[in-house]
Amino acid sequence: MQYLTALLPRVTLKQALILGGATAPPLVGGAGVLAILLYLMAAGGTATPAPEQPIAFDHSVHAGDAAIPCEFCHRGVGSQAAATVPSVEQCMFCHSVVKTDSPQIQLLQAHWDTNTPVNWARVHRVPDHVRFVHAPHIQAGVACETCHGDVASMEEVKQVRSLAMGDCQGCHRENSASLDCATCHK
Amino acid sequence: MSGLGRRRFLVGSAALAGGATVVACAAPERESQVQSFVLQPELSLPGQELWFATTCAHSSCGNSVVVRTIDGRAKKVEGNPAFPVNQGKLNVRSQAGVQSLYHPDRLTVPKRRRGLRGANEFEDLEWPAGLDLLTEKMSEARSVVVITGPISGTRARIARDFATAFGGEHLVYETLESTVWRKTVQDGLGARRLPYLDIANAHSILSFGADFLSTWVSPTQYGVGYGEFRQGHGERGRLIQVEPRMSLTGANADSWVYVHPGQEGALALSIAQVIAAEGLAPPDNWFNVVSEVGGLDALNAYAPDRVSQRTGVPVERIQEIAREFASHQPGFAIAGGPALASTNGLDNGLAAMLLNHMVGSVGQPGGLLPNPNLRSTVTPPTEPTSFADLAGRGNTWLEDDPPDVAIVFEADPVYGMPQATRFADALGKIPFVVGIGTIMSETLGHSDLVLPSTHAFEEWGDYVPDPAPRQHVVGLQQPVVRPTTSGRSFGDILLTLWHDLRPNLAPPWETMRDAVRANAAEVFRGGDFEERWVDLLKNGGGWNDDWAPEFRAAPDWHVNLLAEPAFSDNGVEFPLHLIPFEGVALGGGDETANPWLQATPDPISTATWTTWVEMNPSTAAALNVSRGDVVRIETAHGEFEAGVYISPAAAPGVLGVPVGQGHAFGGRWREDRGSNVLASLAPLTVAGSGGLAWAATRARVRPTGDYRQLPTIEVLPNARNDVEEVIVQVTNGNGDHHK
Repeated sequence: MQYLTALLPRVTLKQALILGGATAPPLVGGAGVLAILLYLMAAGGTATPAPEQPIAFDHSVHAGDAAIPCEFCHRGVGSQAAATVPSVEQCMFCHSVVKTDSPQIQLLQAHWDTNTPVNWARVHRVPDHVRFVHAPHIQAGVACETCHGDVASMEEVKQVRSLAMGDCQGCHRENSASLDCATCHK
Repeated sequence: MSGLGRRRFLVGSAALAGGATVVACAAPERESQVQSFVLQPELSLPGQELWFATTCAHSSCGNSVVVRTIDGRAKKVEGNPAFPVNQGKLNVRSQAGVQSLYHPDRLTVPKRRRGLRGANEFEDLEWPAGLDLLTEKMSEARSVVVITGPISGTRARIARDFATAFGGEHLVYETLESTVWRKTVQDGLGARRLPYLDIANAHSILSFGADFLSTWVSPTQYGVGYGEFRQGHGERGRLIQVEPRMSLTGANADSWVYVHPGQEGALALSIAQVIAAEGLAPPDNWFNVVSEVGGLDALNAYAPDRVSQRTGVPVERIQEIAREFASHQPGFAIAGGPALASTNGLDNGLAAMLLNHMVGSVGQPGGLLPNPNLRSTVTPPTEPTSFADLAGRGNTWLEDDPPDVAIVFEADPVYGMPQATRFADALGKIPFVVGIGTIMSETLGHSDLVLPSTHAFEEWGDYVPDPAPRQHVVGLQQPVVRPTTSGRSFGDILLTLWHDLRPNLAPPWETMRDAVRANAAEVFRGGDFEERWVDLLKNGGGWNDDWAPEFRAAPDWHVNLLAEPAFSDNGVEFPLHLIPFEGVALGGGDETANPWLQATPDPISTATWTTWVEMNPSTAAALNVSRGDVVRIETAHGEFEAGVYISPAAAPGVLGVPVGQGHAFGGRWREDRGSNVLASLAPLTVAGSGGLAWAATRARVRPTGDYRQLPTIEVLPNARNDVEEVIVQVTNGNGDHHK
């Protein structure tokens, strides 16, 4: 569904209702449904629940209680396009000794022992026709929370902003960043 | 439409369309996943490429390469432009290195034999258990033999010294060995190292069977020179190829000359006679040399009219070759392939060398130039053990005097040695055989313990190219990716054993990395070595011109008269000549597991994935066989099957058969495919060198009655199997061919 949200302008519920009613006058019963569908599509991630992860990694413990900086694990964020997820090896730097009796850490240990990667469920994703690069945002002083919300308080990370085009444009406009199409659509 | 009104139909359609749209727009599941590395590759940034220089140090190539890696995975191999041997160029085998690295049938863990030797029944072991078993056997061993492929540099030094420290020896097995060429160079040029062929500056090359553009000695290096030879200087170089079966080099030549097997030397001496008799080269060049081989009288015995019949080359053609070669100087003559693999191969080689002395191309630009001996003995290039020596060892083992332990690495003598030598039986006499390699082979399959080794892109090493490009050159090998298996490098395994069992005799290095680094420090002295080491790794090795080599020793013409070639049979029962050849992709058979290389068409026949026999149309007609017919080729020492490939470029009476197929071990793309021609060869040796006379076997052909379409690309798939498609030239509308 996030694919569609990126294709559509950001709309309010009222706008969606008007749009849904205008485009489907004969389908009186269906108009409301279509309007809600359109709204959900346009609103995108705000309605996206946190996906189930293969290991129940708790950001509130790591980024919250332990106050580990985001960049410690997401090492690519300041220098490249992808923020990157940490390697199993990096998790094991601590978890070879920390909480080794936890069932979730034992799941991690199994990946380490069998030399198999963890297939994390992706939480944030922009469509293929968008070239999003983390590095210039971080270098411009945009805080991680601006787009990702208060991850330090989330047990399970979920998407809190739509990250649709209108969302990006609004922020770019407020910060006098480029609004040139080619900035993001290479 | 009674049950489905218009309104309900429209509503249903809209719902279906909406649903389909949502489904169609959903991201595939794999795109909703983010996969973490288990180990973060060093320096790696996701999606960004990194290039590392290293060397394809395993057996068959020795080219310096740069490997493109993304996210810690090797993606592409290119030639290292800085390296003076291959100068950015690369052969197909090195290109396929990525596929052998990620081969699904690679050995991943140690294995211990459970069934009979050769039964391919193994059980997996943990590394400590595997090493414990090897250590136990080694500690009890009185003597050890280390058998490897043609390895080089520090790896070779460790293998040799390790074997010596454990009371044994290091044997080097090469499938179609270079022993005879080395001996030819030693005797004919007085040189210990192979010469540099100055192809780029030559105006003519007279090659007796040397397929130097495909598989002979250092084809990538020669290919670079060949480009210059043809297109670099003003005069387009002339190439004359003399051989009994057309090779890729023959197909590129200006003239391809068919010669009867084993008669290349007679032809060379006949050309020499014409040069002398017609004064085509200054007598100052040749008078002394000719005197050493018996003088003009001896040479006159090879006058064209006296050797024409025995060589199969008309008198006029011999004279033309002599005039063309002598008038296009500088230029040189070389011998290789079947010319050196007859029983008189060394004589053939020396006859070619005589031509070089006569036209004055020895030590001159555009001729054969000397290569420097290494200043240090740290990294000597290994020379193959001759077939005679290896077969002799086998006989000794069969006579109940085998070593206690054999360590085999990247060598497959059980596959490549002729059946008549009974080498598999000889190896079977050795109480404990450990095989080390990346993928299963016949020899590993006959081992008691199999240890997985790292791939060339996963390990430390170095390589001394032989022949060198007139410089001191050491190519360095570094891991460009983290190992994808639990494999350990051959050098590391030996060093571990050495330190465990003979610590007093062990070298100071604990690992191959330490050894390579220490040896590099010894070879490239001076200045801050830390900085130099980084530069060496960046460049893929080191080289310098600090030398002034020359051919110091005088040639040793130990033959005055050319011997007649001997064959495995008198030609009555087995009337045809069997000429095996190495393909540009599969080589001697060690690359057969690689599907890219299996699928690389042979340049002459375009055949892939199988064993075929190249046959002249007249030979095929006499045997009453057609293209695709499966025939049984019998020799006095074995038999095998192959599909007939009829080619006018195959000489009459000659059967050309590619080497490399017919394995019972080695993964899904290698096993049970084609036939092994090497097994059926007669165990004849080249006089004076001990090399295997692999072109001296006679054979006969029996049709089996079976037919299999040959997998070639030269005939359109829908064409009838026995009809060659004629390529029609484009015309200009008037029926005239475009010029």
